[in-house]
Amino acid sequence: MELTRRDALYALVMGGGIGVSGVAYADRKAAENEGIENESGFSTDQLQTVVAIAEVVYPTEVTGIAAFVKQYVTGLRPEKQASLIPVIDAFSAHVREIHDRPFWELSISDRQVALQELGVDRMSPDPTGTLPERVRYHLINQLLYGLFTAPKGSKLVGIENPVGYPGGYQSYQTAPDVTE
Amino acid sequence: MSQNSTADRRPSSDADVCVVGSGVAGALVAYTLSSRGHDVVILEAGQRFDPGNRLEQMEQSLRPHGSLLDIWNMGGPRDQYVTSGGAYYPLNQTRVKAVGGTTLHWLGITPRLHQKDFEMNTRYGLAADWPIDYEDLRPYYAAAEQEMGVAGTQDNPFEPPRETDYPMDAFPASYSDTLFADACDELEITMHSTPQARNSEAYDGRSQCVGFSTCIPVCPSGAKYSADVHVRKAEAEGARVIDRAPVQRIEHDSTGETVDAAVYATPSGDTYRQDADAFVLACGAVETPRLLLLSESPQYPDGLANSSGAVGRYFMDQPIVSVTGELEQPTNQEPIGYHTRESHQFYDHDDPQPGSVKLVFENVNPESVVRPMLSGGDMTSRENVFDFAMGDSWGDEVLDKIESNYPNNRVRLLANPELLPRRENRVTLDESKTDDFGNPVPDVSWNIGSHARETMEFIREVQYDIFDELGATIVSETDLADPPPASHKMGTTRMGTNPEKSVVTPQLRTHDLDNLYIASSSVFVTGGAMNPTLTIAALALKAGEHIDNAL
Ligand SMILES: Cc1cc2nc3c(=O)[nH]c(=O)nc-3n(C[C@H](O)[C@H](O)[C@H](O)COP(=O)(O)OP(=O)(O)OC[C@H]3O[C@@H](n4cnc5c(N)ncnc54)[C@H](O)[C@@H]3O)c2cc1C
Ligand code: SF4
Repeated sequence: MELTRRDALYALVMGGGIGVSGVAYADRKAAENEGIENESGFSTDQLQTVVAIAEVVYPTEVTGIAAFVKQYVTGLRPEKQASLIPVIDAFSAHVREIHDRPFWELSISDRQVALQELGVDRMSPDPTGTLPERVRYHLINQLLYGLFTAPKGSKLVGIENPVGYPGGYQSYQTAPDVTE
Repeated sequence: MSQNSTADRRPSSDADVCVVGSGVAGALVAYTLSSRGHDVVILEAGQRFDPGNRLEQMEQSLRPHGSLLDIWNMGGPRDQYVTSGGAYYPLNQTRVKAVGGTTLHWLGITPRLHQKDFEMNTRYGLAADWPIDYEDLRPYYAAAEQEMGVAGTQDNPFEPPRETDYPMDAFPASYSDTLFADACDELEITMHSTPQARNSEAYDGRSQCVGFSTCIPVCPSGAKYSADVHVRKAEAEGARVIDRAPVQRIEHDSTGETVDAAVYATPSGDTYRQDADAFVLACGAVETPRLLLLSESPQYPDGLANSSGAVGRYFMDQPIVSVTGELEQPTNQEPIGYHTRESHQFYDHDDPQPGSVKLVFENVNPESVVRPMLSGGDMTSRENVFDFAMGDSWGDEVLDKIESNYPNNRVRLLANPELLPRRENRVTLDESKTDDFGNPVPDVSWNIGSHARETMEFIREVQYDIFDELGATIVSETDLADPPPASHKMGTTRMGTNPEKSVVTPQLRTHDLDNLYIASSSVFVTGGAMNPTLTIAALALKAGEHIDNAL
């Protein structure tokens, strides 16, 4: 299942506009943004790190992760973006110290190991906690939140309009699509 | 704004009315009186939340971090309580202390009580009659529906008489409602729409429901009514709100016949007295009696306005009876945060037993996958939302777990039975434990009597019959011996004409004090099996009118 930048804008609808007008806004924004590269406060390295994390925690069925994630994180509210940056930097520094390379240069399985070594998989998310707790909260869970509150991502589990996405008013009335 | 501890919280001079509490009851009284030209000040214990942050609060509610109670700052030292009855009462999960009160967090279902609820003693020899009847409240019900914005359609053959259409059309049936239709036809059970204070079209400057599906705990679009709407309307009419100003006690004059002041504390550590000509307590069915009990004096040694001894007594809620079943076909229900069909067929009973019960066709499948996805595959559901144990997987592993744990073929029935008022079900003060101001905490003593138990058993059988007819396999059911409450707190300062048996008059004024009124479900004499808030709103509008006449 291929994600696009437009899907990321749909994921951001709940972070900005409301309902149908928000969806229309996302469509317009996607058209405007076609071809525009990173204009956010993130450096290219920081974005690559986030994409590399998403490639571990998103199901393998998902493709188009780089475009989706870049659009998603750079579209988050400025305060949210600002809260991500120090965590990315601390995490990157930690990985470099141990593996002597940036996180995104590791293979997917080594990235998995690096996250496990840090204990990220065993920790509860905490926005102000220890590094693994913050990585879990600000990076992993933010990325998963973006995917599973967007219609495309939640379709992986058979839901067209996930909880947290403003599009459920029509869909709750519809019968299952038994052809799928 | 919300956490501002330096705002001017000094009392208003020359206030006509002081309203304590800004939930739907306080907000509607304040709005009624300020729009009629009275100078109104509202003292609210909790903070003011910025409506601009609701999307963020929704995200907080979906992410598996912290507690759901944090979203509206529920609990903590401010909200200490104890519970001592036969059934545990989780008080903090049933109320919000903030500008807007518990309607910030509620579901929004707004039926009227039926005529029988006002006449339980005359009809069945049970409990007591209200001193007013359905006809007295009928115009206020209509006004409350207009104020809150209720979507509904007159397709309910059991509904009490009404003169006006609902302000908005009902919500269409969900797909899973349609799955119940044949079975209910066969069993001659009538399904009908559910009136709810949620916009099925744009209403009163607020958006139509778009389907975020997070009505409890927070509606980001404003489609679900919450009482901060009327707090803002009251402010536009000149009312003043002092937030984070918990009232510590209510003081009367030397005769004991008139209230002089509400004494409140502020975050800066100051204590002030708010004077007014009239006072309205609108603190909900637990804090209202608690404040009266805390305000004891030489004239009222058992608590203010308590010469009847009824303050705190007759506490009611409705236990939840729920059954979940699996069908062989997919229900593939897309999430929405509310139900759309009910049956009031088992409400107007002929014999005393079993009592009234409201049957609800719930929307269950699929639950939010965001939380288990973010919890590493830990499967929390709506029943145990307070469990935040973390799983330790992500990616494909979680996806597999979710696919096997969320079979897309579930349906659920819910029911609320009526619970009769019992003198020994009550709110008292527990002197052994204090809140952040050193006041004794409320002790909620709740027991589920035989009437409610028989009614619960009766409706459980009906639920089984429907599932049998549907061919559904039951996968879970709530424990009839230990049911959770529906968060519909009622009773505790009951209305009546006899000052020896009740706390307030039919005009919602306390029998004991000339200028002290109560707007709350605490004045309910019986609770019925309907959600209480539309009745709270109707009574608040009625109280507002009486106070206006008295001023
Ligand atoms: C999860 C949930 C779902 C619900 N769903 C429904 C539903 O679908 N339909 C329905 O009808 N009802 C529902 N309810 C119940 C409904 O929310 C309440 O009946 C209603 O909101 C009560 O309104 P109120 O104004 O009487 O009290 P509240 O909203 O509790 O307001 C009381 C206010 O008084 C303030 N206060 C208390 N003590 C003091 C003090 N000493 N000084 C100053 N201020 C004080 C509090 O801070 C609070 O803001 C639900 C409740 C919950 C928890
Ligand atoms: S589904 Fe609930 S939360 Fe969403 S817009 Fe409608 S009322 Fe609000």
